[in-house]
Amino acid sequence: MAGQPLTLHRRRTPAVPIAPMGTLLLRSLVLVSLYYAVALWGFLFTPDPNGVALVWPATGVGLALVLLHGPALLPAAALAAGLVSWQFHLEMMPLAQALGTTAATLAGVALGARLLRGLGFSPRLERVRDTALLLGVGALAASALAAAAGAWGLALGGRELDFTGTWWRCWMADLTGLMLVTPALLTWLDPHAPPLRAGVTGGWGMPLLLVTVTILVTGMTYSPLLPPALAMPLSYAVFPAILFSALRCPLRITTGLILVSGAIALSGTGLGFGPFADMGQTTGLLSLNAQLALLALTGLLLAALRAEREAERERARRHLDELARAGRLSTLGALSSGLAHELNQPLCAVSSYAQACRRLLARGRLQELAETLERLEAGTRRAAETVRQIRSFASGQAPPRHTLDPATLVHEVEALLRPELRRRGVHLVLKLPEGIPPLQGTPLQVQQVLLNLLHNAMEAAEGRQPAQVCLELRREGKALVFIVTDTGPGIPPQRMERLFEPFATWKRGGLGLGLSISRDLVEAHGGRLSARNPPRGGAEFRFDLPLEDPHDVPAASPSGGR
Amino acid sequence: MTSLPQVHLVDDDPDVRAGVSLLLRSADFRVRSFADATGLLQAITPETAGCLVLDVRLPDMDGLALQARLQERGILMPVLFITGHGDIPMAVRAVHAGALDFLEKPFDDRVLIDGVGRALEVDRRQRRRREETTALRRRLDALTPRERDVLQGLLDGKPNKRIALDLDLSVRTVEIHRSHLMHKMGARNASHLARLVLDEGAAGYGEEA
Repeated sequence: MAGQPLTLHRRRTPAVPIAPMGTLLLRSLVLVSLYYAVALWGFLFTPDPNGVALVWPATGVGLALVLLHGPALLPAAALAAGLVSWQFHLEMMPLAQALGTTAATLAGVALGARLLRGLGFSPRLERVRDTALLLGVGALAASALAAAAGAWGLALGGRELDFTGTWWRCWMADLTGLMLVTPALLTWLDPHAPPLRAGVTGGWGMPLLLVTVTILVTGMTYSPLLPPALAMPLSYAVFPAILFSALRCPLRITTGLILVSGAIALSGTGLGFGPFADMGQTTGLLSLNAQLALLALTGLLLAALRAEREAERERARRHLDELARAGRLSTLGALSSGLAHELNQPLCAVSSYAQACRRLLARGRLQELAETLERLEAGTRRAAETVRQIRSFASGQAPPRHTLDPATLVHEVEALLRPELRRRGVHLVLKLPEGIPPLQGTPLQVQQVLLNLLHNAMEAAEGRQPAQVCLELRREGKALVFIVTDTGPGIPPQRMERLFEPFATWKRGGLGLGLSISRDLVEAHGGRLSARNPPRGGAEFRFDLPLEDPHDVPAASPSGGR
Repeated sequence: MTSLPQVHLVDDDPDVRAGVSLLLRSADFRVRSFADATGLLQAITPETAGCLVLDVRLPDMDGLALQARLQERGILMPVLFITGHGDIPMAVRAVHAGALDFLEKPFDDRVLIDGVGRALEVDRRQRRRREETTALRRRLDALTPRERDVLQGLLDGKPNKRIALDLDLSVRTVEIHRSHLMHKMGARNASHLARLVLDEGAAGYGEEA
């Protein structure tokens, strides 16, 4: 893959790293066992004396494992296919043909895996594109080849068989098997998949209920208990469960449900029960396979659509995070000379204390020395606290939202701004009422909005009489309102309309991103940021943050205006 | 007459104030510290002895403004500025406006202590000189108009006879005036008298004569 950077636009799946021999052997063993097991299962439900299985998931097993672990598993796939041929086909056809069947199956698996890899297929199945690729390429290449192999084998076996009909049934059996088995194997056996726990957000109750419902409903449908007239409509009852799972549960639960319901339906039909059993072999097989393929396709597509939407939302959130960090760094840059001063003060004190200590020691004034050492330590703590504040504000990761105390937030922001306020001779008035309730939010982002608004207000008020900035917190209904006012000249009326748009700056040296980022951050917290020129003069910016339960707060999402 | 010399430290940062005053005390200086310029201006007069250690940026006034205010009030104590990061240009202007020196925080204790020692020495010299000038002025003020005329003649290097002629007095009278004024001025002889009056900078004297 040395040339990968040059072919990025082709979106190739990264090469599977070479696994140690032990792992390879273990995986090969898994492949052979699974392949053999599903082949055995396929033959068990083969009512046709010609050996055409009702469903043939073995190809799907081979494809899934080779996709996950790379072509190193192809020998195992060959072994498995050979073993099955030897066991089940040899009595029907000569050795050469049995070998040919094996080779064709293997070629199907290899070609399918190769094509999917080449086209950038991701075994996570988190994109609609992946589902489409699996269905299209995987089914067409692997199934067609496998089916051809089956038909070829059967035809050469000397039976009186209609080739086209056999091919068609083989292909259907392969495709259904692949749609049922491959997604489940890909999602459950992926060594890089996150733990299942991580995907189950609302507790295990829902997945367990869905599994129970699916097993019960499918079991009832394909049991001798129900008359066909009732069983037929009931065979669609599994759809809501799959749809619900696709929308609410991790993909693994959905693929698992598809596999389980498919296995029950096929087994039941194979045993002669259920709505499809009495239709005659070809029709029944075709109908059931079509229904199962549609069920799998619906579940997979829906899950992929949901995953795509979530990924899009996550991308927007990350984008906002990055933008916010850039904004914070730029704010820190503007405050840097003041912060350097703020850091230098305790350093000066500490250095003075240390030098005084040396003199006190030389004169044996030990009592004073001990006191001075204590003050020295306090000075270093103060410097360390300033450094901590700067670092946490500049850090890249915005910690997840949790409960925050608005007063603490405000005081931390004030500490960052204090040296610059002093330097510019601007007075900051804080109006924090008693007993402000805690908020739900990302502290860093709320602080960034506050710092940005206060910094703007400070710049506006600098050099005015009086030069004053006021921050007031007020509880209004179910929201906490932050109001920043200044004694500056107010917002120019012609700027008002485009105030929150990116790059709409009228200050020199500013990028004009501060207000735009601030508004996005406030909206990501479920609030609103607005500006006006109050009648008494100056500018006023206010934003509200909801005081509700965390579950009611919408997750960070892209906002309008971009 | 005046209090003992003290270092007057002004910095709005309590830690810096405590640290620097402790350091100065450990070197046996007397220190009074203030959080702002207003506090300092209320506490000192032109008679206060000592020196000033000022942060160039104070909450109520910057260093240059404070320097101007002190000069307005006739407070001539030497000023050492201390400066945090980024205030160097202002410190340089302060030195041009008459400050003794400026030190960048954090500073070396020897530099600070030497600086303060030097400032106190400058203040002591200035003060002694001012006292001498005041004393001389008092002595000159004690002279009668006639004695002053004679003194002018002496400073111009004229012999008694010539002075008597110029002032239309007898030589004897001039000698008496001369003896009185030598006594009042505390001069041993004519050249000592000239050195006293001219060297000690009785600047106003020439205009008066």
